[in-house]
Amino acid sequence: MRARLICLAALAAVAAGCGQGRLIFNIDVFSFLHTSAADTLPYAGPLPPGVPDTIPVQTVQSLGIGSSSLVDTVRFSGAVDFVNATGTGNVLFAVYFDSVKSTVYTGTPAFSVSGAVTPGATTHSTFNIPDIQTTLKPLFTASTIYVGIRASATPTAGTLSGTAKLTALQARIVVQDKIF
Amino acid sequence: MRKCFGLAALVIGWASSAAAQGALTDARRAGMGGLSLGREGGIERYNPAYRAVPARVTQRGQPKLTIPIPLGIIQFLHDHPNLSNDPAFDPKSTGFNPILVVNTILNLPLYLEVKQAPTPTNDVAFTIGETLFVANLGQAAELVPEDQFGISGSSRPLDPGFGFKGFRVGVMGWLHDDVELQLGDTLLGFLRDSQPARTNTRYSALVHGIVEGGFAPTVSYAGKIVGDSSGGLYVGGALHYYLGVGYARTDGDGGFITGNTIFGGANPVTPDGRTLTQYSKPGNTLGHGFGGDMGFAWVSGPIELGVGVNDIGATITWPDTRQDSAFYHDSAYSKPVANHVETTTKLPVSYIANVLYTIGNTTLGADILNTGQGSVVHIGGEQRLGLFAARGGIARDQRKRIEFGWGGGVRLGPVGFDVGFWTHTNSLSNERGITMATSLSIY
Repeated sequence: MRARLICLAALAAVAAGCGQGRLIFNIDVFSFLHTSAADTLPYAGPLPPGVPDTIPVQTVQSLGIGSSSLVDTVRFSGAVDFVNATGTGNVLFAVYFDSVKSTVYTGTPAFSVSGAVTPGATTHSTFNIPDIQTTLKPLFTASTIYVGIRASATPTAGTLSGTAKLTALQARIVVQDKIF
Repeated sequence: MRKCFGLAALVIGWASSAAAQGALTDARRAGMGGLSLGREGGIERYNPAYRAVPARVTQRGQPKLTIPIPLGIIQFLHDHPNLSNDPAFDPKSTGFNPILVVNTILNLPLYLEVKQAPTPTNDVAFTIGETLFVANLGQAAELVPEDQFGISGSSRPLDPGFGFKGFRVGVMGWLHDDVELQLGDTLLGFLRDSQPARTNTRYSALVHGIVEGGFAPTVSYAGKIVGDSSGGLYVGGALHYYLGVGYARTDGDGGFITGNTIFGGANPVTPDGRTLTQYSKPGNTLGHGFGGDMGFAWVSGPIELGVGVNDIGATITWPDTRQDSAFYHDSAYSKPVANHVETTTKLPVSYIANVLYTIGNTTLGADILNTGQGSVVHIGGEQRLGLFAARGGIARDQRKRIEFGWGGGVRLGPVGFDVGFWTHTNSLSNERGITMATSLSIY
C-alpha cells in the first residue's frame, strides 16, 4: 500500500466529494498481505521458548488525510484457515494496530477470531467486526499505522501446532467529511 | 503567497465571472436574465449594422452611466474580515477550503448572495487493492465533464477611428484566448463511470491553450439602405487587416501510466506528458490576415431585428514562429522543432441574432450569441409602470443550463435605482443559487 496513491485518492475525494458527504474506503488488505507473504503465521502451543507467536510489526502507509478528519466507522471482515498439524485445542488469531511500533503488541487487539482445531484438519473461521474500538479509529487517518498479528494456540492436552492462513481481509473505513 | 491568495482569487474570480456572465454589472440586465434592451449589451460589437441604427424613440431612455452597488462585497468582507490571513483561502492552512475558493471564483461576490447554491452531499467511495482501484464519486461524478471544457474569449479592447457618411476608418485592437481541456477515455471512465483503474494503462487529458493579440486597421460601413424616418433596413460590414503582435499556443496531453500493480511496487504510476508549443514573440515579424464582419438590422414600427457575424475568415498567418516540443516520462526534456517557420491561427467566428418588440410601456426582447463556445440565449422583458419598472427574463448559458431573472426599478428624474435577481449554477452544485444585483443609473 503506497501512501502516495492513497493520498491522491484522498485528494481526489476532497476535490469531488464536497459538502457533508462521507469518504468511504473499501480496502482489500489481504491483497497487500498476501503479496508480502504476511498472511501466514505458524502457531504452536505450548509456545516453545524463543519462538514468537507474532509476525514482525508491519508498517502500513495509511490514508494520511490528517487529524482534522473524523473516522466514523472501521469495519473488518474476512476469514482465517487454521491448518492444524498436530494436537487438539483452540487457536486465537488477533490483529493489532498502533501508532507506535514498539507498543503494537502491548495493547489489546483490535479484533480477533478463534477456531477449534483437531489433528490433520483445517478449521475455517470467518469474522465480521462492525466497528473497532473508538480509541483506535484515529490511527486510520494518520499517514502511517503499525500492524501486528498474533496466533495463540491453547491445546486441550499435549501439544498443538499448525499454521494460521488469512484467506480474506477487507477493511471498510468511513470518514466524516471534515477534511476542510 | 498566503497573503496574495485570497485577493488573487477575487481577481481571477472577477475575470471568470465577468466572462461567464458577460460582465453583468447592471441590475436591469440581471432582472431580465442577462438580456440587454439597449446598446450596452455588445450588440454594436457583434453587429456592425447597429452603428447606423438610432436609439428607438419609443423606448425608454437608456442610462448614460450605470454604477453597480456591490452589496455582496460587504457581505463577503463581513464573512471574511481578514481575508489575507483567512485560513479558508490559504492552501497551506489545515483550514483551507477549496470549495469556498472555487465558489468564490465562480460566483464573484460583487452582488448579494440571497440564496447560496448548496454543495453536493453525496458519499464518495474508493475501493482499494493491490491491483484494484475504483473511485465512485456518487452524484459528484456527473460534474466530471464528458466533453471538452475550458474558458475562451475573443475581444476588441480598443476601436478608435473616425467616420463620414456611414464610412469609418479605424484601428481595432483584438485579443483571443482559449484554454481547453478534455479528459481521455480511460480517465473519464475512471472518474465518471467508476471504472476500475487498470494496470499498465495511460490516464491522460488533452490540453490546448492559445493566446494571441494585435491590432487591425479597419474600414467599415453602416447605413440604411431602405426605409424612412420610422424604420428601415440597415446593413453594415467591416473589413479588417489583422496584424498580430504575438501569439503562443500549446497542444499536448498529459497524465500518468499505471504500473504492474496499482498500489504495489516502487513506482505505482509514472507521470507522462508531451506537448508542442508554438509562439511568435512581440518583436518578431507581425502576423497578418484578412477577415470581416457583416450584419443587418431591420426596424419596422415596434419591431427591431438584427443578425451579425464577426471575424469571418479571420485566419492569421504568423511568418516567424518558433516550435518546441516537450516530453516527460522518466525525465523531462524539450527540444526545438523548428524556428522562423510559418504557422496559422484562426479567430473564432461570432454570431449574434436579436429581436426587440416595443409596444406602449412594454418591451420584450431576445438574443442569441455564440462566440465559438456554444450559444447563450436571453429572453426577457420590461414593463414600465409610471416611475417603476418590472422586469423578468430567462437565459440558457453555454452549458445549456436554464437561468432565471426578475427584478424592478424606480426612476426619479436623472437617477434610477434598480434591483435584479438572477439564478446561477456556476458553483459545484446542480441546484441554483440566487444573486441580488443592485445598481444606480444616471440618465
